[in-house]
Amino acid sequence: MSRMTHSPEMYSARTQAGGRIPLATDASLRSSGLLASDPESAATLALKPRSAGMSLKPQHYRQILSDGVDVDFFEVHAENYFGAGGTPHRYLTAIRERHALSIHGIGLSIGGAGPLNPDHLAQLRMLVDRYEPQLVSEHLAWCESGGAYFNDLLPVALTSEALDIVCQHVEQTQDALGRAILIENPSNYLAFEQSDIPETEFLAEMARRTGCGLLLDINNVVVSAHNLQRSAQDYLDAFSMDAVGEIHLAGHSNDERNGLTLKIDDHGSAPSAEVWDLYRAFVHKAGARPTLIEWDQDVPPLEVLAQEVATARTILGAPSSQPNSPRETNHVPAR
Amino acid sequence: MSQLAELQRTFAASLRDPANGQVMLDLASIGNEQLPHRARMDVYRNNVASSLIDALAALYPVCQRLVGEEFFRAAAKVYLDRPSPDALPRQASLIGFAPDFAGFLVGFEPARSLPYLPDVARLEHAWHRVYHGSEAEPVTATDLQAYVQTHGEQALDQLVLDLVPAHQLLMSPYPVSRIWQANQPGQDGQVTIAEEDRNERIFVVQPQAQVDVRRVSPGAFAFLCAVKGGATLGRALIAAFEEEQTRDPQSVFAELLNAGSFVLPTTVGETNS
Repeated sequence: MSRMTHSPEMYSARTQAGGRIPLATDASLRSSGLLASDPESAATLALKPRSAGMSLKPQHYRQILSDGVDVDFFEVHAENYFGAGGTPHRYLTAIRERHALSIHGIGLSIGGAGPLNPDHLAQLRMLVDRYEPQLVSEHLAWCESGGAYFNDLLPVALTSEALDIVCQHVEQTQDALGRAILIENPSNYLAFEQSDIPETEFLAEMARRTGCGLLLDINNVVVSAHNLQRSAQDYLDAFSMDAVGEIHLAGHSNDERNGLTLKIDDHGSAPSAEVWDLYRAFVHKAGARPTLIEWDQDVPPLEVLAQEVATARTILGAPSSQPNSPRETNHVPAR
Repeated sequence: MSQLAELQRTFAASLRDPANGQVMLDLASIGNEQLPHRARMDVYRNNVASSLIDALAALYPVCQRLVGEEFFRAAAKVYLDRPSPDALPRQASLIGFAPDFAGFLVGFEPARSLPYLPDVARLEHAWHRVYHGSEAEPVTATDLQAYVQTHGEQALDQLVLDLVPAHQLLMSPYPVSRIWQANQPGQDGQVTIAEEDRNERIFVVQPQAQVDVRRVSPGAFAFLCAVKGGATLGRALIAAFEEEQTRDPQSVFAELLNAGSFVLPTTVGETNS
């Protein structure tokens, strides 16, 4: 069964030919539209709401640098860049010089009952200081207990005690990084009896107390809604849309068990039609937000990711600043 | 212990031990019992197990290719289920995970028919360490000429260099680098072994964007080991000659120097700059 976790990213890089990091000529970058603006812009500007990005995968490093790709930003898993140096940092440095970046942590265990790991936080801070990403995000999840790490995003019981702990962890992280972070809604396979705060309320209250933003993963919404037999639309309607600083779109798989199906958040395929429809409706209602095509398993060729990014861009580009105009309601998907 | 801590401790225990999962069944609830709790808990249990097996496969791809996916995953499961505090990662980042996988394979009875497998695993781990290793500007022949000009010819003999920080030195009675090379993606896995390939001395470094797995001569290996052990340049040259008298140790040194193998110790670098 597949799932949304991470594997060490290095194997694919071995298939690449040796030698120096290839650099596209300025001319080829200009013709591809990547060098249209001041080179400094990648380092200095915040992401525009209509930005669309993709997961950065080692198997695409060389092609991105040699051929360029039409994308507004890349997102990496922080923990894959916790090494002291070497290939990953060489490529990320070269790519960061010309693209905006989002650093997405999966292992800080914000939802863990115990204290945050100070070494992890220090490494995250070093990474953020080094690359000055436009966005930094983490999950409403835990992954560590008693010093053992599970390499998975585990569910948090949504209680007032948990809310206090999560808020303290978010504040500690924001203090350490000197900036606001985004927290992502989880994909759920079960719910806890003890949970007495709806997830959307929990996230909204956390954002209100800590000043953090939210990362709305619409695939997680679809996965959780199916698995917990709730309505994805109701969840989105209750979501604190003003706090959303980024949207994730990803694919999931279906796991059949005794004639029943669980949706598994595996990031191993294109976003489903349902995810796209909900995304379109959300953007229409809430306005554009930086949007990531997230793909971590069975990573396809760069062109496939670029195509999904183009689809997101089309939706982001649709006028959305006047949500009540009758003309705009025509853009709302029929279903 | 807080309620959240208690719940997470129970959850964590049940992830590793299915029997313990029964406790979880009493804790979790979704209000609709169409799908049993056990199936839901199994998603997490499965995620943890398969993600860590996937991680091992990503760290040891040549080992997996040598034994086949099915065998590898079974072996990985035994490795991850071993009763050790290090059975699970001790940090969130999987960089450096499973450093003792080679040691595990030495004692893994079903893999006995592939005696070279543990050394291939050692090489893959070495590759991985260098892939993520810290950067340094290697010392060049020009730098050493400048050093001689400042300090005199005699001082060069007494100079203590360091190896570049991202490096690994390995020896094996098996042609593991040939096996490793032949089992890279796109290669057919066929290895033709000459007698002189049998004992290998390997220097893993990353002079450019790619990790380089180099077979080095006995003299070069002795030189590298001497430098690593803190020997002066003069002593390292002697070590190289003692190990391989058919090669001029100066040319051994020059070859390694030009390949970007060394750095000046910090103190020398500071006084020179």
